[in-house]
Amino acid sequence: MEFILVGQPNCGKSTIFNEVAGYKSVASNFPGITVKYTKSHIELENQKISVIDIPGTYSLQTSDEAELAATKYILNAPEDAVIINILDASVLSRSLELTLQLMELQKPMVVALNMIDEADRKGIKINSEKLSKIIGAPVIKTNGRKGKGIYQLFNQAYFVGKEKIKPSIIKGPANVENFFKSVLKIMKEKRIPERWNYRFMTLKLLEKDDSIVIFLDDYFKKKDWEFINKSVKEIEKIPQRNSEFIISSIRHNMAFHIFENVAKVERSIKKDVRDKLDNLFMHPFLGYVFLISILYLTFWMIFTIGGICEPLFLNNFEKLSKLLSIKFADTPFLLSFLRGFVQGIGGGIGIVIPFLLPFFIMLSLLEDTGYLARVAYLIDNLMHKIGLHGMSVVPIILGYGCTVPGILATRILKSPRDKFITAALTTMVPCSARMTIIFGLVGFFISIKAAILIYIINIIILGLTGKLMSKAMPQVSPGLILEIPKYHLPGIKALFNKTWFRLKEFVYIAWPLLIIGSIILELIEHLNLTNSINSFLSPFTSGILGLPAVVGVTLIFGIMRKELALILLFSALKTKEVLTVMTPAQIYSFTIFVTFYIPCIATIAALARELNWKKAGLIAGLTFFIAVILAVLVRFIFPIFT
Amino acid sequence: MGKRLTSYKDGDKIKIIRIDAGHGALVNLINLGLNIGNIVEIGRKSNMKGPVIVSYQGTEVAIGYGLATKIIAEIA
Repeated sequence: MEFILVGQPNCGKSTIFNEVAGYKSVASNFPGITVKYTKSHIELENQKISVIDIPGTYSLQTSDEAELAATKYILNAPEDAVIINILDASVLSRSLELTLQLMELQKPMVVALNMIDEADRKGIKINSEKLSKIIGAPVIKTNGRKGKGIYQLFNQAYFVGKEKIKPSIIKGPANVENFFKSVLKIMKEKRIPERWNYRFMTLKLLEKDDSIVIFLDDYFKKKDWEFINKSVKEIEKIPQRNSEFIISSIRHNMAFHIFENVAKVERSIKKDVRDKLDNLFMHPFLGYVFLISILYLTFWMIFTIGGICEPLFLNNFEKLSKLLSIKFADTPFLLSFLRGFVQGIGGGIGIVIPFLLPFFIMLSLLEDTGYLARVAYLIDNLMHKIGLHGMSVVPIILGYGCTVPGILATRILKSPRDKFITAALTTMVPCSARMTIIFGLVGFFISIKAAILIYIINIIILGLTGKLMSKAMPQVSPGLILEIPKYHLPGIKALFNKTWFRLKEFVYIAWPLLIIGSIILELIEHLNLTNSINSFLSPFTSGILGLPAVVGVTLIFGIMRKELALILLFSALKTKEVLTVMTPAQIYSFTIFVTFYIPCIATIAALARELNWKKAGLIAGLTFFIAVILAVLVRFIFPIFT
Repeated sequence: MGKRLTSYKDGDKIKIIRIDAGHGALVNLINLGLNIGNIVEIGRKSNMKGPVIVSYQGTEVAIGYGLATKIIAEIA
């Protein structure tokens, strides 16, 4: 048996999944973040049952990439699947629209009235027995965050699955029902295989669903299509609208009718503290003050925690590295290999724990409370100026932690063009590895103000690049349509699950490449290739960028591991007193160059995975081009101001 | 008959009479309850061409300014 959790975004579906399945999924306040479904197993009545968590979907009729994945999964679910439909009881009428669509599938199902506490607070009293009778499936009141009603929900799911109890069919208006009848007759005559039930397929014909049309085309003749098209036109005549929208209107009215039947609103919705919060957080002026303060505080905390922890980890790995040098002094090749390996591991731990962990926890906190959706709202206007919209802000903010999860988060964007531009901009955002270079080099040898200036320059360049890219790829962005969720106190379990989920992307994608990169670096040094690389690159490094030729190799290696550029620079210059061998202008232009140029290999891999290799190459080329221009500009402008 | 969604003020209760958006945006709007004929309330409108927040049966939806100009509505 298989249980599929289906629900609209923000219904608390993933929280329920986490409650039964543990550490594998992510609860989200931001629509579409769980794009891939997550699977787990539970034991009920001595049987192993798969539980699947699929992305939240508002409807089975959709154009959204994530929702499409969900719809596909439900439509192709195995024979013995049970649908667990989770509703946000506080927005019952809207939630029932999806329930009505799921009922049409005629698969065993149960309904969870989740967030029942929220509904209570709003004064909505729901008669679950009455609703259960109408739907023809068990209805259970649940509170996912407190784990209430969940055991009963899964037990009922097992029961309907075993007994194969199908939900009711709710009939529509006469003209639609007549259409169903005549198409049903054709289907029966032609003995069309019941891949889905006939009624559902007929309905999808009215919704003009491509996959059903293709499926039926093998059986239907021209005459049949003519009849269907004529009938559809007939139905469309009266309200003068396309049939797919007529169907959603009918469903909408049905849902509202059921809502009025089973629920009583005992008091008018009182505005609570949370509504007042939005008067501040979404205020046209104060909203931005809060936004900047909250982001500032977030970054300040991360840098403080990271700054304290980083040396603790790195020092130990340095000791280990020294120990290796003594132990394996006789076998230099093996030593280089091991040293590279240890440095790769150490570099990973040096970034993950000090910077990424606090960053992801803070971000999940902002997301689960519902604040991130407000950020998208506040920033939408600004993003439109560069041809994108508010949703693009999420990958970009993530990019300040680590570029890899940032790139992966571009999934939430619908149009391929928005995805490409956002990915390119995210790549240029200084991640925590580049931050160590900016502060370790410019911040330390020039001034903190100069280091912060790099961040400001970076934001300006992001804006200009976005603007130019959207000019080069003119297309009307579909625009922002985003549910603003209620504020929630985030659950600790969900928070850690989500943090772990993001961290996993770093651990599985970025870290192995980081280790391989470190090993290659050590081997290059072992084989004494450094000098030849430097002299090969010197026309570029010295000629164009005006830097000492010895930095050549650090730039190549910086592609493998950005944060290594700093350490390598010290070893290439053979001193930590950088000012004795480089001028402040050279330091500044080196840092600017490293901030913008070709993304690290882990990022390139992520880009290739989310977009494709060609686009990844394009982004790498573009960032390199921007880096060269900026570095050369700094080379000539910097001396004028100092 | 009817005016753009962006021309109403906070708290106005309006009835959607036409949506001139592309198919994809239309489906997404409808899924969130912003179907033709529905009565919604303007929740929060930023003064600088930012998104318009529309609330419908307790759901708040932010709609980008450009898209909001394509939604035609009248006072309910």
